[in-house]
Amino acid sequence: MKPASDPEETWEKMYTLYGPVLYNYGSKLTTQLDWVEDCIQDLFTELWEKKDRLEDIRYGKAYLIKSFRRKLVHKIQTDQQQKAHYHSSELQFHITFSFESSWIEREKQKEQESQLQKALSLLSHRQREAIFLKFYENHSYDEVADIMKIEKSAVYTLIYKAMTQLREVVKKTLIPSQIVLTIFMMFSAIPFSG
Amino acid sequence: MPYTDYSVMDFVMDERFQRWVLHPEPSDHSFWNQWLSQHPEKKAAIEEAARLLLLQQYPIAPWPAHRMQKVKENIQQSPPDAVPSASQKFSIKHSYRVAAAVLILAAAVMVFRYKSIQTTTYQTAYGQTKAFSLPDSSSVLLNANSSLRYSRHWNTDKPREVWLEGEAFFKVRKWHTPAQQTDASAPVKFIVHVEGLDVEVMGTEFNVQYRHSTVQVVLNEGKIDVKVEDGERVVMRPGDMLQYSLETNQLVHQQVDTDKQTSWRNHLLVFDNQTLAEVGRVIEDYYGVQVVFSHAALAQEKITGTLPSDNLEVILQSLETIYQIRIDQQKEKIIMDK
Repeated sequence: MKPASDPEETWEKMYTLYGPVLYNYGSKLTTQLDWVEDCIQDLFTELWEKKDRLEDIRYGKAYLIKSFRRKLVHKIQTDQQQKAHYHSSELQFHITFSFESSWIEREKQKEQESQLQKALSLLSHRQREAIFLKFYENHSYDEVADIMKIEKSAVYTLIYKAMTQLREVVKKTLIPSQIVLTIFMMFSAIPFSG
Repeated sequence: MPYTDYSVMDFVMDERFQRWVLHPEPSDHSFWNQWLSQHPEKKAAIEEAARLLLLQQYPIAPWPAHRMQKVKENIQQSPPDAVPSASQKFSIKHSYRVAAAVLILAAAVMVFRYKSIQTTTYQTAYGQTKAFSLPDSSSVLLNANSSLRYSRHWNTDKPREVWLEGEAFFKVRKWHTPAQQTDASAPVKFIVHVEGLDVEVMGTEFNVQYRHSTVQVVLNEGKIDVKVEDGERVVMRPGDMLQYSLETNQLVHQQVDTDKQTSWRNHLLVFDNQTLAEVGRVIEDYYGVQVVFSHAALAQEKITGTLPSDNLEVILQSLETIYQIRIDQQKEKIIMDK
């Protein structure tokens, strides 16, 4: 049977599409970007060796992220053990919000944005990784559980608590778009005359 | 649990809802819009949940193209058991090649830069606004479906000039020529060129709109000088609005509520006893759609109220519920019916 498409082309497509995704994800787990590249290279070398089977649904994005994470975490932990950094053996995950530039009351805006950044930084590394995989990388709860090697219910709890904490800050600082909402709900109906 | 019993957090955690907000498919839009129209009491909860999800944007760490290429070559060109580590970066021979490539690239970038050095243009799509600073650190908020062009290099010995299509709100900073010898420093003019007239200022806050062959200038603060194409000059004071028709060459000068006139800055559209036809025209300008009325009398109905400007669906739904009209959207065409 003839394969649906050229295996090298399939591999190339995966590399172009997911290489940058893995790089972006890896850069949140460590600042050692050469490790990130090493792990992408390892993973795609494995895929190159079995490139005839890449059409298999098993090799989707969740699989790639999971395999890549395992490699990178191994590298990070090996390094930590060598340096005997036992106190920092917890896995790190660093993200910030990228706000779209907003005009209104710039000074107040800055304040609100920094409050939200602070709230994000107060979440645990696992919470941040979970919301990143869920909302930014668009994985299902099952996939996030599989990638992070924890129970689905644990993923749910991490995300629920993280979002509740962020919601409190949003409520407190009342971002301008919510003022819109309030005004919007207040506006009154004028009955038709005609 | 049915969606009608959902709290804000339940929506936030719901995968179907998440997909609609973050990665929607066409079927999601029809499902949720229909659901929302049946349960308008859930609108506030849904909006809050959506905002929390939309907040989840993080800066990207881009993989440099040359590194991505290098890793790919490592994998493809080496025998499987001899793949070098990506972190054992360059051999000396290789680094010469890279240096040469970088030089060529740098030269190309410089040529490209040189060519585009003359002007910078900012543009907005339908339904989008953009905030940015000019070389003199004055700030501009560009409304939907608009563009602003200016020379990339500004000197204090020449007026600052920008060219506008559409609508923008300006906060212009005062700029002075450096004091030379004994002369006191002179302020540098800021000129907005728009079809039919020039707006000249020193440092103020004002809004300029050019749509449908009419130029409208609203002054929030300070003083501005307007030079009409036929040579007429008008001095505007805070609270003034000037309208100039390019078709009839007529100039109307009046006092207005400037906050209302420039409410789009806060993502609000304020209508004060205006006709549905006028509301329709604003929607057309913002969203690039066509608004038609099933009968002429409906277009003349008067509307008073405030609508959010940044969400077409919410605008249409509100008009529908509150003014009891039927709105039918077919791609780029919106039909209002009673």
